[in-house]
Amino acid sequence: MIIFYNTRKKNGVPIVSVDPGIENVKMGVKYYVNGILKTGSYSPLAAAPMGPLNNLPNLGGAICDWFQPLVFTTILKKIVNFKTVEMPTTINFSGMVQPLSLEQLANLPNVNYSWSYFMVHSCPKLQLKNDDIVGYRSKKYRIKSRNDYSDYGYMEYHMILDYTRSDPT
Amino acid sequence: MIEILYTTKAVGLGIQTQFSPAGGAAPYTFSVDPSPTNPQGTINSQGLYTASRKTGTDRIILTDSLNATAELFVSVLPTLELFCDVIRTEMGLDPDQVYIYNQKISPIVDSRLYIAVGINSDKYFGNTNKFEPTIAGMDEVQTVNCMSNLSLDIVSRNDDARNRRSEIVLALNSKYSQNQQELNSFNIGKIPGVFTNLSKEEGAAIPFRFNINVNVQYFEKKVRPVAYFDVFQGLEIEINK
Repeated sequence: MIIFYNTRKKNGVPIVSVDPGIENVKMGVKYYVNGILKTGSYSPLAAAPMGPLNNLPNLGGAICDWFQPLVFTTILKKIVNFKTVEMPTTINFSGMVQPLSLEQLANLPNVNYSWSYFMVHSCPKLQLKNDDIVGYRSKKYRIKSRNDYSDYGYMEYHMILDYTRSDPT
Repeated sequence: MIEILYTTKAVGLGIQTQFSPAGGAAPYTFSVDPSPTNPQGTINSQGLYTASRKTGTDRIILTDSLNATAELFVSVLPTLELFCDVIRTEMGLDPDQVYIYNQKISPIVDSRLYIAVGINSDKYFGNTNKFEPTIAGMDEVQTVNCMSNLSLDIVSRNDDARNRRSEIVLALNSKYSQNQQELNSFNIGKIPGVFTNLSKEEGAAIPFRFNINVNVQYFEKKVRPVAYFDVFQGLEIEINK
């Protein structure tokens, strides 16, 4: 692909040319043949829904380089004979567990420094909900926030050492 | 086609209920799945089932002379669960739509109707301890009579809680409810005609939530073999010499 940059401007916006036949270059910005360089600031917020069909960069490939095989134990809750039954289920996935930085901890409203606070990045296969209990390296953690970036190819979770000890009973 | 006829599939601990064969070719044989994870009640050749004193689900198997089989799953439940079963059965709800409240329940995320049964308070007004002779020796039979004030929360994200709340009253007064009360020796008290509307307290998360309180009288029984006389502690007397 060849992009011809031009120093000329039209109404203050640089004009570019690309090789014929390419109308839309998926690099996070849109180019039009012999048209006006359009950046995000020129697109209305509701112009296109977020998803794989637009120009969102999929970071799944890049972030996977940092991932390693991980095993979580999730607690599947089911009502049997009118009572809650908790069944541990093992999930194998690719991801990365890292502790929150001191700056991030300092911004939390209530911090107990004897608990462990972790941030988890994973492939979209790992689907957890807020308040879920997960087992990781023989300790129980509670999911406190879930950020679904599956459009970008990954998920982000924050989890805290589960001080209430909600082990399966 | 062979099948097992029944009046109830949920019985209390140690309670007897009758099952009957239908279809197939006589003679029939009843048996209970001996899986160790089951309560393992007993059933005689006439289909009279006696639940054990362990909760769980028993699998009743009926076999006819042509080796055709039918099965029936019977739940052996304490009184509070039997109370839930009455509501679930009469309202035609799925097994997970009626539950005994505890703090491990996951928040409701779908649009189905849910009924949470909780205990407000218990009042114990009777307690007995009798010894009954058996072939093997003697049993200690302990009973306690109790009246529980139960709280029923009926919640939904759609209109079901508002539209179907009266069905709880109908369920508790139904024929199935009266049969279960008689069979399992518990009594659902007079049902108050007040549904407290808690929808506003829930805010926008769950639009409809109503609460009603119901009294239930029941007894708990505990049986265990004992010797005629307790084994006394060895007596040691020290004497100053």
